[in-house]
Amino acid sequence: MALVADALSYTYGAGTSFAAPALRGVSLSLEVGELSLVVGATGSGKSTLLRLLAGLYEPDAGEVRVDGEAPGEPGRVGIVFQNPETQFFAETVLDDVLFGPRNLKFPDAEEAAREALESVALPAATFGDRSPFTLSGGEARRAAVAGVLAMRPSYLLLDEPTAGLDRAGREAVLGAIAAARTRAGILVVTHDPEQFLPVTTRVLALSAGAPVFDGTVEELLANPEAYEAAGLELPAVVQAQLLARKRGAFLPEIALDPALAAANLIAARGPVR
Amino acid sequence: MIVIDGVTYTYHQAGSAALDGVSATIAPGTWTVIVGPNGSGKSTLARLLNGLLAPSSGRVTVDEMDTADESHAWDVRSRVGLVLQNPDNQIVGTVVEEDVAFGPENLGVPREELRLRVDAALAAVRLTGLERREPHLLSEGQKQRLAIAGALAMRPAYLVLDEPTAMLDAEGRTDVLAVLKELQTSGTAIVLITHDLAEAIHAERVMALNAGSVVYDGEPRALLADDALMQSLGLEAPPFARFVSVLEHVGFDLASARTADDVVEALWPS
Ligand SMILES: Nc1ncnc2c1ncn2[C@@H]1O[C@H](COP(=O)(O)OP(=O)(O)OP(=O)(O)O)[C@@H](O)[C@H]1O
Ligand SMILES: Nc1ncnc2c1ncn2[C@@H]1O[C@H](COP(=O)(O)OP(=O)(O)OP(=O)(O)O)[C@@H](O)[C@H]1O
Ligand SMILES: [Mg+2]
Ligand SMILES: [Mg+2]
Repeated sequence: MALVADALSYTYGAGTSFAAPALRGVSLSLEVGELSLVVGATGSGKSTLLRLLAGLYEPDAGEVRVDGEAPGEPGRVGIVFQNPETQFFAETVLDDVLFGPRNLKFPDAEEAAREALESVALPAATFGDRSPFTLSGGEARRAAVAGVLAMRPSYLLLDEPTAGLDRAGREAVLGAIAAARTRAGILVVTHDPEQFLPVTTRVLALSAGAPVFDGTVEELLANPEAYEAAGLELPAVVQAQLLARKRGAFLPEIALDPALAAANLIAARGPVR
Repeated sequence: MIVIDGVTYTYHQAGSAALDGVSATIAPGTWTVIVGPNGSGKSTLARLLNGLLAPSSGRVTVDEMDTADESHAWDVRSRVGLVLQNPDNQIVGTVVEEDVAFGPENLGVPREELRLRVDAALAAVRLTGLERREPHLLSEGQKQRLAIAGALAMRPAYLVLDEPTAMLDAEGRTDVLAVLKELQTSGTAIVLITHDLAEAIHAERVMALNAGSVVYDGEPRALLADDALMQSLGLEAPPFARFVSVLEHVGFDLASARTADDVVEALWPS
């Protein structure tokens, strides 16, 4: 059981004078319980990939399989768009989030919606009756995430789910993602991988639509060259450890936690003279 | 000078005020970072600064012009550039270059100069080559860059940017901050809204909003050092700052360390 993409290619405006390939031969496999990151510079094809995986676009070449079938079955794959406001349509936040579970005929639709709102720290009691179009930027993103969580999909495609969130909102969304992961595979597109790396199964890096790195976090930290050559930055805390190694410091492991990373450097360096 | 004097703003039909008794000034050529939790009123304040919203009570003046006075609307908008949080709400042109030209054209900038400004603004945000693209066919990060280019081409005296780096890659963030620094050097006041404390740490001034009120206005170090206030604002020092502070704690001198290179150079001098 997995969401599988095999050698996907996609060109916008194919056949026109401004045709530009946006994805070139991208493959991935996401199983329930996994959390994978898709990273890449502005315009590298991340959002395009998610739209193909959700079955919103047809690939020019390659194919997408959801548990062995063609994509499109309602409720199986959930997508949160990068711009949350493009996702809203109902008059109130609660109706917006309720739409999915109701449509899927969940017997506990109302409960699913309220729970989802609660899980992203937008309690229905306070926000349920608001128009989704009058929410602040961070509130809107959380409402969009709630709308997809409420449908309990097997695969969740999240385009920048923590952008513009305050700390409480980010922690709530990260918690909701961790909870959903027990019954879903999660694919996160982000410009801010640092917060996800400690819980990430695999990282896929795109550059101009093509994969430049695909592997586990350990593999990425061991071989960051291709990743960095694509203009992507590892967290500064990680960069410092990799640089220290180059200067001969003995660091048995690369730590992601800032305090642990500092402690390792101090141990390698010895006391200040 | 922008003067915000006892401003309260309540949205239509909203139960409570989004901004409540806010006072502050923005002097020409200064750099102010605004932080605060979701819903604390940052975007509302941004829209009040250029007259997009008028205060429910209190006053906002831009170089002595009251923003609530319709007869000044045009002058105020041309002096105070605003990059909205959602670029979709801002983009008006049918193709990229027209969108960037829209503002300065309305200011009456002559043709040749217009071309120069548009090209310079697009180059500054690395959108050169996409001049004829329809804006809705851009990626989200490209749209964000376009919105910034539009504001740059206006050459405003004050530039307010609402989370302009939220959707950018690391390089794009560095680019945009560098362009803004350059603008400041040429005299533009910058007001930057962000959730990324890394963008606040080296600013001359940070304003923190909470539930519609200004709860801090001063230099960033004192804010970062105030654990109780940081906690109440839901703020946390960025990971790199925490990393550096552990190293400083054991005696390494990293007061001027900004990057991984700086840290390693201090520990293992080359
Ligand atoms: N059009 C509106 N109608 C009613 N309430 C609104 C409207 N726009 C914003 N609000 C509310 O006003 C408050 C302040 O919103 P604002 O957009 O200024 O917050 P913000 O600090 O920019 O938040 P964020 O970090 O999420 O962007 C929030 O509680 C928000 O829900
Ligand atoms: N509807 C469209 N028509 C034509 N070109 C498009 C369209 N949407 C995106 N593109 C182009 O395809 C490329 C990939 O876009 P995509 O939105 O997938 O990038 P992204 O990696 O998500 O970028 P960002 O980080 O800015 O969101 C970009 O060069 C973009 O300009
Ligand atoms: Mg995108
Ligand atoms: Mg805002």
